[in-house]
Amino acid sequence: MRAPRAIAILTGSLGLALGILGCSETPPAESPPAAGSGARPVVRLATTTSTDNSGLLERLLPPFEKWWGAPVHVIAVGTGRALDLGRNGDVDVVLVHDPAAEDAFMAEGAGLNRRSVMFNDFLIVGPKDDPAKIAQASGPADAFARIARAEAPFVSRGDNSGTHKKELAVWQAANLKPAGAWYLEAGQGMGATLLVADEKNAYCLTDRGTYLAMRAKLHLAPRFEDPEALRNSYSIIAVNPAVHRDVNYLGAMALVAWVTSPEGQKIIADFRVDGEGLFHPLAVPPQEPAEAKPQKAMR
Amino acid sequence: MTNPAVEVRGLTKDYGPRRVLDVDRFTVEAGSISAVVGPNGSGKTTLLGILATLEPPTSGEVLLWGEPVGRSRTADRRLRRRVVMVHERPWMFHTTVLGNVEYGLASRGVGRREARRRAAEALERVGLAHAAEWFAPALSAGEARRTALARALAVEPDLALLDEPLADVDAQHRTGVERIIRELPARGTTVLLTTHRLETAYRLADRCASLIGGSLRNTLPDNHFSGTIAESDGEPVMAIAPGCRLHLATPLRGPAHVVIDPRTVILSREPAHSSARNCFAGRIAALAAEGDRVRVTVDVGVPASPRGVPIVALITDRSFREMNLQLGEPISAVFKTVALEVYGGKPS
Amino acid sequence: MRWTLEQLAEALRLLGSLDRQVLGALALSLGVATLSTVLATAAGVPIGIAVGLGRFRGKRLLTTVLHALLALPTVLIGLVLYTALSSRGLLGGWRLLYTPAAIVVGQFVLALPLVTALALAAAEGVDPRVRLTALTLGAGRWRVARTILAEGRGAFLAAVVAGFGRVFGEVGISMMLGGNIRGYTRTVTTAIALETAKGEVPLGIALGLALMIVALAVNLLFLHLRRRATP
Repeated sequence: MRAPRAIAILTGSLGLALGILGCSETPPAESPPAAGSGARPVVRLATTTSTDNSGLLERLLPPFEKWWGAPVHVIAVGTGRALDLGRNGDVDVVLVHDPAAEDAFMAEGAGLNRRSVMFNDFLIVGPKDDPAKIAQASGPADAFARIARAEAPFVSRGDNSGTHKKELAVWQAANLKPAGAWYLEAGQGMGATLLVADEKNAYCLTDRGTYLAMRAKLHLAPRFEDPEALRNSYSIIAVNPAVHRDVNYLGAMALVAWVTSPEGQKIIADFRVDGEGLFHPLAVPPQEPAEAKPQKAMR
Repeated sequence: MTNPAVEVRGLTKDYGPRRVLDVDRFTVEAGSISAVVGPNGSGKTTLLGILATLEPPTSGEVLLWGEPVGRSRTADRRLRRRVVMVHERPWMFHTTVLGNVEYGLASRGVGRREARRRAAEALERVGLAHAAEWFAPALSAGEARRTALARALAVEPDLALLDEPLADVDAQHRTGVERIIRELPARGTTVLLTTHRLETAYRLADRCASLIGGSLRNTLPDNHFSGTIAESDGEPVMAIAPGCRLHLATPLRGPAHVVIDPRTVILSREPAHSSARNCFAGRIAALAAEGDRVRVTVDVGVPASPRGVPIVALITDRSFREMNLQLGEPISAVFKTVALEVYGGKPS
Repeated sequence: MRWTLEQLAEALRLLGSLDRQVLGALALSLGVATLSTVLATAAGVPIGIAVGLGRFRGKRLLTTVLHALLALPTVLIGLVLYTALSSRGLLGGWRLLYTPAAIVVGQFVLALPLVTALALAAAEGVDPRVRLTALTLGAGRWRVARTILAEGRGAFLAAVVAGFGRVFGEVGISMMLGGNIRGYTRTVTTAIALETAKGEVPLGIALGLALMIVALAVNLLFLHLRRRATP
């Protein structure tokens, strides 16, 4: 009956699908390396959504891919999940910004060669009229205290991310447990959380990178900043090959090297969002004049 | 029965609490045409379905050419290859008429060209050669019926089970279909057909059985008497009218039904001195021609009684003419005790 | 109101510009959806026919379980398969995670119950005379199944179409098993999720419109096939 035609359609679509899949598997970078060196395996990087959303990686990674000769696959999830991916060996290297979680990660022996990469800061955005008057706060804890007192709406990440843990640390410093109708937990990434806060005209703790990227879409504006107290430090850690034998350790270490190299750090320093510099490089401290001070150990 | 193609013993079929089929004994002789007559809903289709190995019975045994059905999958498949059932409202596959007729052949490993030839030939026989390329589901009921018949013929089965083969077939094609059915035994196909019309059965079949309400009787429902079998002088009798008693040969007693096959009733002008223990004088009450037979209804019983008991005899046209029977003529109906079939009753 | 219209206008403009990444995402979405639907059909239709025609104890239970599986959320499927495909998982050695192949696996799992359940219904919906006629004419089990398929082709095609529709627009599995890697496993749906989270509403809408246009094209193709199948 209709069998031959059905089979033709089936094989046709199968072929089409495979063809499309084949095409889409070309790596985003330019083609690999010099003859004789053999193709290098993919480097898988887990990072946070805020890091990915900032757009830095689009500047930082292509030169690496060209130099190293392998594509980098970036999987952007929450900090907790990123570290989990590292623990499970589903990625080769992680770039996160949650010192406490990173410490635990290292203590478990899940990672090697942790290096500080860069830092920026968190800030509190809020409604233009600043109902809780946090602009005059003495510090982040005080700012939070004012928000709680005024019961002004506040949207939290609520997802155990680096940002969320920072937020919780500040609440703790203020000796407060936030609860009530005014405190909302979005349970989403930074960008989505900011949109929720924007919609609700609420306060929100955000990293500067995401804020700058979303600035144009928000009615909220920075209401409290304290770069010292609200520091946001990023580290890169390679997944321990002893735990997972087939992680791409060399690729991971190459990425670590790149990111912490003078070239990589320069890209980080030069990175601008909406006209503003976003990240401060940490990995290559400026050389101290040799005569007066003793050599400082590398971080 | 010398060579039964089909043997059924103790067959029942229930759908939930409802018993739709109850056949104690039934056989079909190989090389014959048998008919099962009954009204719609009597279980004819179910019976055919079970014989075609399409449905399992609830209980009982079915033997096809001596082999039991339901023993194993492979045995059943082998038997099924020798049997074809044509349904009352046959399904036309979503393809051409020729494609339909060819269907059964592909499954039997018949090559493409041979299959096409046999299919075309079968279509020719049912008078649908011109319709070979038509879209089968669009056929009329009668055309579909003939296509289904061709579909069965192409396969050349050993046993053909035809459910109401003449229904919906228009008059001009009816004789053709009947001819095909009659020719089948000569081609090696045993036929069992069902119909709700007695004439069809009479015209086509060598043997007829009746199926009413799921109960199969190997005779047609003429001469059906119900009464009580009592003992008289040590012999079983059943009174069917005052002064009129049937002599039976059966160990059963009590309330029962008795059926006499009209074909076993002999008509005699003289009350015959014969070995037959049943001899009833009466008058010819009705005459009816049925093909090449004549149905004679004899009113039997005490002549003085206003209401007689009809006994139907089926004699050949030739006998009828030779005896020159007339309506109202006194005649005797004679039959043997063993010609009576008894249903119900309990062994004494 | 004005804002909504502005977003839509921007979306249409973006759509018209046919960004290369968008086309890549579309091709990927189409590719994985097609492949997983084909696989789910190849597995689900025979199973559906076999169960639909079968008469055995526990058939009703099996059918009920099958229908319950239709309610599986994509994120749950994604999560369970993640644990299987992860480096530490049962199938970790296959290194499928965060590749298009993983998405295909996940979408296959998603589409399979749907295609099977609908194929089952299709088989049951075919006139019972079809099976009986095929059997009495000598068809073996496979031939009967192929005949059922041919006679019920409309309903079976609908099963395939439903399966395709289900996987083409899903995001949970693509996200969890694909990782939304730019240029590699970023499907249209995960891209929409990403852009929406970034607040890029016009782009999200544009991607959505592109998705629907492709879906419409595919379904027109199905319609054409269906017309040709049932004269």
